[in-house]
Amino acid sequence: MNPTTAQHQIQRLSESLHHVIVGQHEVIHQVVTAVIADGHVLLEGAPGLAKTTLVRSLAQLLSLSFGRVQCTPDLMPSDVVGTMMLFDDQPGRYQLRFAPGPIFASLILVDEINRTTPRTQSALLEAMQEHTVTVAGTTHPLPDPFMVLATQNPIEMEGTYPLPEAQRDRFLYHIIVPFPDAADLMEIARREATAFHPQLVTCFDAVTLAQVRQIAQQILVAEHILTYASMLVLATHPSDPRAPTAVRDGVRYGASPRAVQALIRTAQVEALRAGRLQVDVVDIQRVALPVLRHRIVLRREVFLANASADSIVALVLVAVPVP
Amino acid sequence: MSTSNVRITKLTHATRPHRWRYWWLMLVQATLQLSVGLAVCLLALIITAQLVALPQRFGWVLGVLLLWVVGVAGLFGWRNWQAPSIWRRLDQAYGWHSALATALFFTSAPPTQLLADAQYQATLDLITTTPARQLPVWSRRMTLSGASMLLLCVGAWYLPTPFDSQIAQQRQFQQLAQSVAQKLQQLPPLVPIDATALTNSPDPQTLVAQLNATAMQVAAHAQASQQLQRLIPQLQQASPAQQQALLAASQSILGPAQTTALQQALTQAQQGNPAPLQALANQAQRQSQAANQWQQALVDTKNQTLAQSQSGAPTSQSPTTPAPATTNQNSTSANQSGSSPSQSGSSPSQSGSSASQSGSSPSQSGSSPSQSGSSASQSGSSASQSGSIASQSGTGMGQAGGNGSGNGNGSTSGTQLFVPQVDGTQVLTIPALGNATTGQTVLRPNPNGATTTVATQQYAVVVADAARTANQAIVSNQIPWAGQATVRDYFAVLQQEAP
Repeated sequence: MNPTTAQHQIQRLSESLHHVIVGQHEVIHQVVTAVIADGHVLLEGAPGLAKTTLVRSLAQLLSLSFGRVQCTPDLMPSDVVGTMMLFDDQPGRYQLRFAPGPIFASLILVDEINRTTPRTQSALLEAMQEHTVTVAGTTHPLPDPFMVLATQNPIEMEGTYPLPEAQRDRFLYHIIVPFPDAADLMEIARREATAFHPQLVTCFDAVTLAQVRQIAQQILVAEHILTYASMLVLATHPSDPRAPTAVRDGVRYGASPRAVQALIRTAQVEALRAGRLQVDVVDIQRVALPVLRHRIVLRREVFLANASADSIVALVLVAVPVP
Repeated sequence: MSTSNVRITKLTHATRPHRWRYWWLMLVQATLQLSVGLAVCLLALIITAQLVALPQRFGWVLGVLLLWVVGVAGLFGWRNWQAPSIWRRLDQAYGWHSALATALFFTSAPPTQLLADAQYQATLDLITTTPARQLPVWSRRMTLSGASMLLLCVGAWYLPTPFDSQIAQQRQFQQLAQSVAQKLQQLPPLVPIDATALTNSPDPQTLVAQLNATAMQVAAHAQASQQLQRLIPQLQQASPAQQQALLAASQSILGPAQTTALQQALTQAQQGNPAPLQALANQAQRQSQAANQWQQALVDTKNQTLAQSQSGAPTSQSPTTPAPATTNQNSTSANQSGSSPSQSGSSPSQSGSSASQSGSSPSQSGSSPSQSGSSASQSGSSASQSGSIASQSGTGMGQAGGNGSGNGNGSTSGTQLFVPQVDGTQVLTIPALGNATTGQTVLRPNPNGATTTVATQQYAVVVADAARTANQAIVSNQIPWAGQATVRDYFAVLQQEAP
């Protein structure tokens, strides 16, 4: 596979998703980028914004195994990763075997991840980072590819457990799903009225996905791009002299080194999607917001004052000079 | 040469026209940005130069231009120093999205070797297919900006501004200063003058001060020559002892050089050779005549300067006035030409001496001692000058010569007559007509403090006539104010006689 073919494959995947999802172009773009960049995605949006539909459609298009975890406060880690169970395969002879949980799939939808307890949330840590699950001292590898697409509802905050920083950092992208505009709502209504159900045709498989990922990883990243990405991440730290005043005043912790990795990986995919063989500054700038917004920890008073990490990232982008 | 170096050479060669284009763009941008400042500076400089008669304005303009060139070079250099490498700037300017910088500086690792080769080839193709003119050096927006700036400059040059009247006034003064310098240069050489300093005088006060300084030197020359003329006949008839006494008494006026020359000529005359003494007498006469011409010219120019400084732009206002207004200066000058009254009253050194009036003017030595202390009658603005008028009377010579400059336009600050004084700056001011226009009735201030209702036109005529009469009287040395203590009293009488 060459870069041009990879670009076309990615384009087909996006177009197929657009057949299913009305509007949400930026969300679809970012989700596809994250999938090609082999990263986990945290989708945040109000109910009914087609978050689950998007993930299910993606799994179908990629012809990947799909698993779903509906998070509730009483969800146990074993419900996610699996547990040891007694099986009576032969009469009178019971065997203790590992029964894999829903996480043993290539594409996992963790719905309303902030509704489950931190204990269950942390069960996902190893899976997301190591792509393995350890149960009863035995480590079980997860299928390849493996991606977690989690959703959370920003409206109902009562009885929720906000994700800890360590877990948030493991998500490549934090995507905000906006409410559709009037035209999109009309299209949704029209589809409902005409009972339109788009037929999804598989356009990808695991092998193709692996090839596309390989091409994306080879996209050239010059020295000045690496410098720029590093400067961006450093500028999110309040202790850095290059940080703008808003960061010094409003940020408690800046982005982790994973942010640099995420910036470069996703920027490579963006460059490939744009038909280029090298990463440009604009690619870094385009992916900066979904990469950095969940990795910046604001001060409590700033958070209470309704300031968002998005505005901080925007200020950082302005403050860091383009090399 | 390694592969990498070959690639760098090829890319450098391929980007040459783009780099040149980019340098031009940077230079044009820096030039245009500073050109606005340059235009403002030049405009301000032109206005300032016309307002205050800036000396060596060409040097100033050259300085501003030089500053502009240095500024453009500095801005150009600073931007290049601040900006990233030219390769990155070309990437940004031509929209190559880091292709050039990546192709030049990417260190290919084995897994990316194939892609790096492809990227280099793609970049080379991109550069060769991108025309250099894709980067607009001169945009339509810049054309519009330049055209509007040009229009603004032209408009500022030709349209009336708040400074127009001052500039016109200053131009007239400069012309006057130039004519003064030319006039003095055409006179027989008597005292050294600095024509450049006169021409570049920033304001009338400075010019008058220079003329006053020259007048004092001329007065000293005149006094010396008159003294010499008077002394030679006396020496010829005096005994040796008297000769020595006369010479000693006159040494302070004549100076040591002239005293020595006179003594030598006198010795030769006693030995039967009167030629040197006669030559000395002739020289004194020529010098006296020259001094008279100088004094006449100085008084004339000072009157012109004062009149212009008082009236703003006198010549431009003249058509609205009755006869005497503008012609007064000229007629005054004309009246004085041909006659040469000695005006040595401006010299402080003559105090107590008896300077003779050369040429057609009889000596007025001691002819008017009664003038002292009688000049306090002028009201208003002229009150401050009474002391100076009185100060001339102590010399007892009555040489209050000068011009009359009647300003009858009825709208300016007043009419002034230049009366040479010891300090050389005093003028006699006839009360102004205020803001009245011709034909209106105004209250004319009288010397005694009362007022008289007269028509402005009549008043203007009266004042102009008075000035002319006084001028003629002074020139012809026929003092018509017999019985009047001072010139001011004479004018007071004239004004009282006005209808």
